This record gives sequence, C-alpha cells and structure tokens, in this order.
Amino acid sequence: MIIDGMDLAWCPGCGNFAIRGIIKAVIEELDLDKNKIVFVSGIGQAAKMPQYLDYSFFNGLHGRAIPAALAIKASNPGLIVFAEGGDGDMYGEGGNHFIHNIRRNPDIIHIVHNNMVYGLTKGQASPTSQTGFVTPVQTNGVTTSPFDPIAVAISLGASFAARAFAPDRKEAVKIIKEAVNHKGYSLVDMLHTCVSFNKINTNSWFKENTFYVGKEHDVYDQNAAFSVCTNNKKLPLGVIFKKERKTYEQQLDIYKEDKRALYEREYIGDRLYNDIKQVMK
Amino acid sequence: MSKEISIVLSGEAGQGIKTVELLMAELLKVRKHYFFISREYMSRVRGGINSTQIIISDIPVNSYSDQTDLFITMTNEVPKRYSHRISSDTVVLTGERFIEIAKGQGNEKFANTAVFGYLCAYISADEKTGIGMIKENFKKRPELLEGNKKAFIEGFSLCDLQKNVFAKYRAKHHMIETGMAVAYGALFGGCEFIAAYPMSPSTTVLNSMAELSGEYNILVEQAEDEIAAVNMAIGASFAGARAMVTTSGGGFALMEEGVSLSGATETPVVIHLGQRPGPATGLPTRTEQGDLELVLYAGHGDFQRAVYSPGDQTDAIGITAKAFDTAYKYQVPVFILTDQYMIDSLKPIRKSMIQKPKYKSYIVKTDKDYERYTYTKSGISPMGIPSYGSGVVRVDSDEHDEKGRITEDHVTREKMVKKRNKRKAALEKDAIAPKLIGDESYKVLGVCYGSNLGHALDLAEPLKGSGISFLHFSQLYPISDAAKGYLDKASLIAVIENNYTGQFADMLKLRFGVNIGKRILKYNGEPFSRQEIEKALREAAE
Repeated sequence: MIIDGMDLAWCPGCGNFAIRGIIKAVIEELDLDKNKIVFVSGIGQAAKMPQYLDYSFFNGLHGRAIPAALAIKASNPGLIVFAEGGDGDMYGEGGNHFIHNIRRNPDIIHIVHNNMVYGLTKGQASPTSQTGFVTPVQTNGVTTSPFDPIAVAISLGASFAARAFAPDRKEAVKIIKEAVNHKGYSLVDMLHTCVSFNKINTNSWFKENTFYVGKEHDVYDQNAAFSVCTNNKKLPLGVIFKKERKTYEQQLDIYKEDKRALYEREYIGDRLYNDIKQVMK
Repeated sequence: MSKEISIVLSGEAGQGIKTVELLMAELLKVRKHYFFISREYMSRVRGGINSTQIIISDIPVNSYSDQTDLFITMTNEVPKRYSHRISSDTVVLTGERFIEIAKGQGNEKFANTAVFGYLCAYISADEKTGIGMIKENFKKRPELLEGNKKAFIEGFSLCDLQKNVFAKYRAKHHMIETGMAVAYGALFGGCEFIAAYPMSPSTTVLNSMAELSGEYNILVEQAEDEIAAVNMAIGASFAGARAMVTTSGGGFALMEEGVSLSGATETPVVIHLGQRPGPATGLPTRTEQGDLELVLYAGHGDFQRAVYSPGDQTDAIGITAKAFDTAYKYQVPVFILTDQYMIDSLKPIRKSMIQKPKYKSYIVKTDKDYERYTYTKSGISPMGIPSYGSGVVRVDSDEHDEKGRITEDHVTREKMVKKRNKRKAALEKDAIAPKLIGDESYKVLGVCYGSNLGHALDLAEPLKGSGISFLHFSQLYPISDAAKGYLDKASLIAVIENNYTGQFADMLKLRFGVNIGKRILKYNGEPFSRQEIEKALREAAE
C-alpha cells in the first residue's frame, strides 16, 4: 500500500496504520524536536514502523530493540528515544531485555503492538495469545497462559505502565503523550487487531474484553495497580501504574558534571597517555 | 647464555599464593630484575589447587617454562597435577614448615608471608626491603603486622639456598596486567562505552574499564546477557560513541547475531574475546587458541571484518587502539583475540614501549539530504549519527537502499553486497605485517600468533644459527600480503597453535596455497612451554 510515497508492507486494514497515525499525532501535538527523535525497533510487522515515519532510526534485530535503545539514550541523553515492536519481538524474543530494562529505568518510550498473534511468520501463537487460541502450530489450541506485560512491569516497579487500544485514537494519543512526558521508562502495551491471522481477538472482542481504569484508580498504588490486572477477566486500559524513580541516565557518573553526549566530548586517549607516562616516571 | 631461575608456588585458593606473587612482582620490579609470571587456577572460588610460576632472569623473559628450580606448595605434598613440572634438580618445599612458623606467630594465615620471607632470601634480596614491603602491605591492618613481620623473618632465615645470579637492567620498569593493557588500548582508541556479561577469562577487561571509568568518563554497563551486551555496544556506536564488548568463546557464541548486525548496518563494534578451551563450558580457567575460526566465520551473510591477536601486554595496548581505528574507519566488526595464558601472565614494561596514541574521528555532521548508505568508491559511506546535523540517519538490518529504506530490489541488493565487501582491499592493505623473530635466513619457519610471541622471543637466542626462525602475527585476518615473502623463503613451515586442528595453519594454506610442513599443537588447557616448542622445531629441522 503506497502512503506518503512509501510502499507500506502492512496488510490492508492492519491495526498498525492506526498506530502510525497515533504516533504522528503525538509528535505533532507535543511539538517534539524532530531532529532529536530516534526510533529503535526489532523485527516484525510492527517493527517496520520507523521505516514509515520520517525520523532517525535504528531497526536492528528481532527482540533486541531494548538494549540498542538503552545504549542510544545512554550515549546521548538529549535524544527522544522510542522503542517499538510487536508482542513476539518485545515479550518473547526480547523478554529478558524487557525485564532488565524495567529495572534500569532509562528514559525511553516503549510501544508494544499487541495483537496476540504472530503476523510476519504467518499466524502462530504469541506470548500474549489467549489460552485455547488455535493456530497452524498450536493445532489443539494454546495451552500456555498469556503473558501479562503490565502485571510484570508493575511487579518490577516499572516507572510507567499503560495499555492503550489503537482504534480508540483519542485515548491512545493521550496515553502515549503522557508516556512521552514521563521521565523514565514508559511501557505502552498497544492492543490492536491482526486482520489476517487473528479472527478471535477482533475489534469487537477487544471492546468486550477491555475497560478503562477509572479516575478513582490510584496509579501510584502498586498493589492496587497489580490487582487491576489480576482481579479482572477484562484487560485494563489507561495509565495503570506510575512510580517516581531516578532514570538510568541520571545515575550515570559520566553525566554528573558533564551533560554532553559522548560523541560531543573530547578524546581522552592523550590525557591517559600522559597520565601513564607520569606514573612511569 | 642467560641465567634464570624458575619458582613455582602452589596452594589452595585462599591460601595467599596471589599475595606472595604480587609481593614478589613488586620486589622484582624494585630490584630491577627481569621476570615473567604466569598463573593457572581451577574453576572455583575457594579451595582447589592453583599455581603461579615466577621466572627471574638477567635478560628479558617472556614465556612459560616447564623447568622448575624451586617448587613451594602450601599443601603437605606436591599435588599430582604438577608432577611433570618437577625434575631431580627441583628443590621441593611443602607447606608444613611455613605453616609451623605461622602457627608460632598465632595465625596459620601468616604462612604465605613466611614463604615470601623465604623467597626474599632465595633471590638474595635484603631483609630490610622485604620487611618494608610487609609493612606497606599491612598498612591498613596494623594488628596483623607484628605476626607477619616475624613470620617473614623466620621464613627469611629458613632459606640457605641463596641465588645471586642476576644482572639488573637500568631503566625503570612497570607492570600492566593484560586486562588493563586492553583497557588502555581501548581508551587510546577513543572507547567510551563497554557492555559485557562477566565470563572468565575476559572479565578482567571489564574490571579494568570500570576502574578507569571514573577518571576517564567511560560508560560501563553489565548486561543481562551477551546478546544484550553486543546490541548495546552497536546501539552506542550508532549514537556516536566508540564501543566495545568483552567476552569469551561461549559468550561470544551468543553475540554472533550482533556481528552480522554490525556487518549489515555498517555500525562499528570492537569485540575482545579472551579465549579458553571449549566446546561449551570446556575448561573455564584454562588456555587455548581455539576460537579463531569462530570469529572468522561468525555471523551469517557476506561482509568484512578484521581479527587481531596481540602478543603481550605492550602489544595489546597498541593493537587494541588500532582495532578501534579499523572498526570505525571501515565500519566493520573487529575482533581482538587474547587467551587465559596471556591474561594471567605478567612481565615488566618500560615506559618507552608505550607509543603515543593516534586518533581520528570518522563521524560527519549531516545535512538535510544525508543518506547513511550513499555509494562511494571505497564502499564506505560517511558515518552520520542522530541529531548531529540536520539529516535523518536511517539504519536498518533489513537490506536497504542508500537512504536506509527497506528494499527487495535485486539491483540494489547486489550493489549493497558489493558496497559492504569492497572495503576488503583496503582492509588487506592496512593489515599489520607479521614480524620475523630470529635470523634473517632460515630453513624452518615457526609461525605463531597471539600469546605465543613470548616463546618466539625467548627461543630466538638459543636457536640462533640452527636455521630456525619465527614469524609472529598480531593480525590474523585479513592476513598481510607481506607474509608471503617470509613463508616462501622457508623450506618448512611449522605452525604453532594452542588448538587441535591448526586453525591458522589452514588459513595460511587457504590464503597463500603454502604447504604446512608441521603443525605443533597443544590443547590440554596448558600453555606451551618454551622447551616443548624448541624440541618440536628442532625435530622438524632434522
């Protein structure tokens, strides 16, 4: 499908189109400095998003967007770093990085397209597939329990955990805006549909099986936030948990006095050489 | 002929062997003796049997020897694993007498100080110097000083075997551990970022970088796994930092996808690999040179790389700096191969041996028309980074066009493959020529690389006039064209490697079509001894 002069590799009707619109709207509405934006992604249909936007990007390996994003942000804290990919990419292949990145808390925005199925490999179960979901591989239905990224993030004390539903553009834009403005790691689990391979978790299924956490929900209450995830049959939407934490970059010694990005600093080899010579005198 | 003595200290981990070794190194440095220390240890935290060899000589000494003049073990008898290092000429002292001295001072742990006392007398150092060092050593724990001092004196007077055979050198010497040498080289090469998951024997580089990080502003990150480490380093590099990882064979196996990522995206990364014997977990604390083919072929697809193999600590400084320049100049993954033997050996270094670093940045400021993969004659596109300039920097592991946009166009694919591989010619031209060690004319050429440099240096003199010389490689890929001339002059090429198949021998054969007359191989986890190599080469020359 040709959009803005680019050949987009998504199926007609794919939920990714809506997410693309949401991201563009967030960046426009927040008036972010486009020169400072970097998108980091892995592999899969969702991970192609940076290709269809007009910002710098590093589209690396399957599951590995997070370590690359962490290092990019750490090497140049002035950048606005988005890590984006699908549920298989971020929660399956990249599961270990997901866990440890929450612990590190870099100031990045992590958007995970969650359609509960593998698209690019044609229809197998994803970590978030519902139990019983029949696929060409899980022929008798998925027997594993679905991965709950929000509950995991809350249990690890993530600094920001939210879930959005892509077709609800207004709310999704609001949630991602809040994620961008949040200082620290911000997870947005973005529910959307796969029109080609997931005939179960359709728009109407999502509408029936999700609910927005109300105004009375205390986002700073870890136990309450956890219960919202585990005590409901339906998936909660909205900003579910927040915790004020120092970011990874704030705690790095190298930025204590000198705020410049690593590439802006002077070469230190000559100083070390002179110091070695001095010691050897 | 030079004179040397070889002392072996052995004991369980926790019995203070390392302390004696460090005190001896300091003493030898102060007394201006040439020395060479190499350690071997078992893969455990406490207990086991470890040893360290201290060779003292009146000329520079660079390699492990299987001769032992004095063998001191903290145990009650010589552990079986060391029987081959003991001959009828070896003086053997077991631990009881030192432990008895220590007990006399009220603490069994003082036994290693008694050993140090013995060794001081053995090398004819004066008692006062030794006591001074003990005082310095216990500065922070004054309550232990008196007992240790007495244990030292008793150990000192126990020795009636004084050896005073050493001429001294003039210049002041220093010691740099291999891990620190690689770290110095990395900083000389402009390194600002290291990510790693600890793994013996490579962790020493991570520790050294951490030690330097405060003073020299290095970002040090312990990753959750090796996959994260290499992807972090590549991400940092994309953002404009000079970045590296350090690992060993098993950890590197996990990093392989990163090598390919570096190749596809033309994002530089430097990989230090401290080799140990595999396959799988293998011998975690032993030595081998078995990962050359691993790094040579790691990563799917066709792309270029460089592989270096420094010979000792001094070489490691220069070579690591060069590795960074190569990685960033050619935008390829670059490997530095060391091994446990080299990492756990130590010898004095002179100030003049450390070269002033040369540094060049290859990052460009982008304009609004910037294209990351623009075609050039050399195949190397100017490297822009995000937010430096007004351009958009698009980097993709998918096949891409000049802009960095995904493409499946066959013509573009072909052009991009050619672009990535075009730099091979320049990389070859830039390859470090091997060094001839020994006589200019030779019949047998002993080819070695990496840590076997020391053996070549030490055998050059004894093999003078025998028709045997050495050729040492600090770069293994691409192999310098200059190697051909040396190889062609030999009537027999003998390749010396710590592995089973002769991986470098095969590479030489592939590259130059030369016949490898002999493969001198060792793969039991120990380094070569000088004597083993001499014997094998003399046999080859017959």
